Amino acid sequence: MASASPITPLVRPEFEHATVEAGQIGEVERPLSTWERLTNIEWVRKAAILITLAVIWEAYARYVGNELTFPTLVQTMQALWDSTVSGPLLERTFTSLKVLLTGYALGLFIAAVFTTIAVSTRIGTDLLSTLTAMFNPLPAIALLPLALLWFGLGTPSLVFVIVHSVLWAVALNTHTGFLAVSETQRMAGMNYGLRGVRYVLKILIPAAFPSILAGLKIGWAFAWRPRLVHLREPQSA
Amino acid sequence: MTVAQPVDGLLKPDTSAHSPLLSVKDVTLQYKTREHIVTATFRVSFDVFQADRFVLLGPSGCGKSSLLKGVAGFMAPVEGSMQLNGQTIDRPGPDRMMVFQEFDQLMPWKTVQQNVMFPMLASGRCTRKEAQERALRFIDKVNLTKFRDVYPHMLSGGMKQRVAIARAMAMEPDILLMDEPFAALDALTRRKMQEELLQLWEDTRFTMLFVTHSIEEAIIVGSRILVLSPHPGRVKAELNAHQFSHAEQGRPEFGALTQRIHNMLFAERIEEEALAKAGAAHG
Repeated sequence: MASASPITPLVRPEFEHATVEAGQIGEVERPLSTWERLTNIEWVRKAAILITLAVIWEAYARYVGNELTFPTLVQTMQALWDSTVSGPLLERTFTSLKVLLTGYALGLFIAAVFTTIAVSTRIGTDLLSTLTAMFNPLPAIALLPLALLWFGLGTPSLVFVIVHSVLWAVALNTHTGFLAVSETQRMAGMNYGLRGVRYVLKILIPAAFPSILAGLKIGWAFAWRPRLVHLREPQSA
Repeated sequence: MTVAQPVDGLLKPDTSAHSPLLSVKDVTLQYKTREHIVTATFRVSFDVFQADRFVLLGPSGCGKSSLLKGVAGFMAPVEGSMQLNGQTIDRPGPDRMMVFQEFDQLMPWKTVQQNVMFPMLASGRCTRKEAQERALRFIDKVNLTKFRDVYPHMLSGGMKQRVAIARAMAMEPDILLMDEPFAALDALTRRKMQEELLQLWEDTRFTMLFVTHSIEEAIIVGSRILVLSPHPGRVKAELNAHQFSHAEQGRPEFGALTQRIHNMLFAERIEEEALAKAGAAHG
């Protein structure tokens, strides 16, 4: 509420100080404690999580005491060791990885072609976004029966499915990354006389790298999903 | 700080003897938005001579940034011509280095030194060794030697702009294009940057085309000011300001020039108001 006489700020005397020497303040900076520095390291924190989970696993499995439904960590490690040394695990892993990497590399290559077309023309952009909208939500597993019909039972079918799961995720992320590069950085790049492929290599790719990396990671994770099908294949065949 | 002049009052520059470094003739620029074609400038002409600190001044929407983009080669004029050293400007190039207003003009994946070296290497102008030597020299000029191995995100706004200026200057371009480089800085930093820029000009006598909407900045930084009218930009006047720097800010002449430009920019509004008043008086 406004009172009859408005409040005026109190007028106080002015003053000026000579600045105190920084040395007299005492503690200006101090090293972090060992505990703080240790917990700042990512792998230390992650290792702590893994060890905790392992302890919980072992403890619970011992409490349940049924090695068929819930084997202990020690037993599981023993089984892993046995099948690695004397079983087919290494060999099968190698075959699996080969298929996986083939599919991944092929997927990346096609994604690179798509994105190049998409950044250079407007119709290319429309093509990529339409195709991505159509195929990205389609689960790779759903394509497997079709792939089996087309390519038969074997590696080509699996590679096809992996390509499908890698391609859209990587293309979408890379393209989004390119679009998000700031206008200023683009102009700066052109200002240096960069054009065409050199412009893409020196400005667009480094500037969009976080998105590209995210795409690669997602693509890598997606590439593993159809692999789980394959791992069961030799048993059923 | 006093700014020595290339040509004092004693010696009037004889424009016929010099040929202009940059010549802009009757340039009309248009850009497209989603629905319209907008005319940014209409038949603008001006000449920039060697070692000029040429300022494009006008309110927002007068097309001064478009004009700078035109000179940089990002925008082709629909009418008129722009020539640098007698050559028509048709594309962006490293002979016209640009300093932008935005802080993200530096490449975040490169350190200060790599950023400064980048255009020299990308344009193939220097060998790596030469580029490094030049980069260090210009980083030193903008007082960032201590920060040369630091990434841009660790720098303050003023420091980033200093890196951008060093990066542009290290290329030793024919003309330095500056698009409101200090507009996003706080007042104290801006003043310091203006002083540093003038000091750099003292040292190396580069030519620059500087865009601003601040009358005060135009008078302090510029040696010659092109005043543009708002929307679409047309030339209102070309004024001399080489006699003024920060030191003269309190002088009546400085105030008079400020007032003169102010009246020029807002003359239309005053006339409108006068008309409205006259109308009211009659009515």
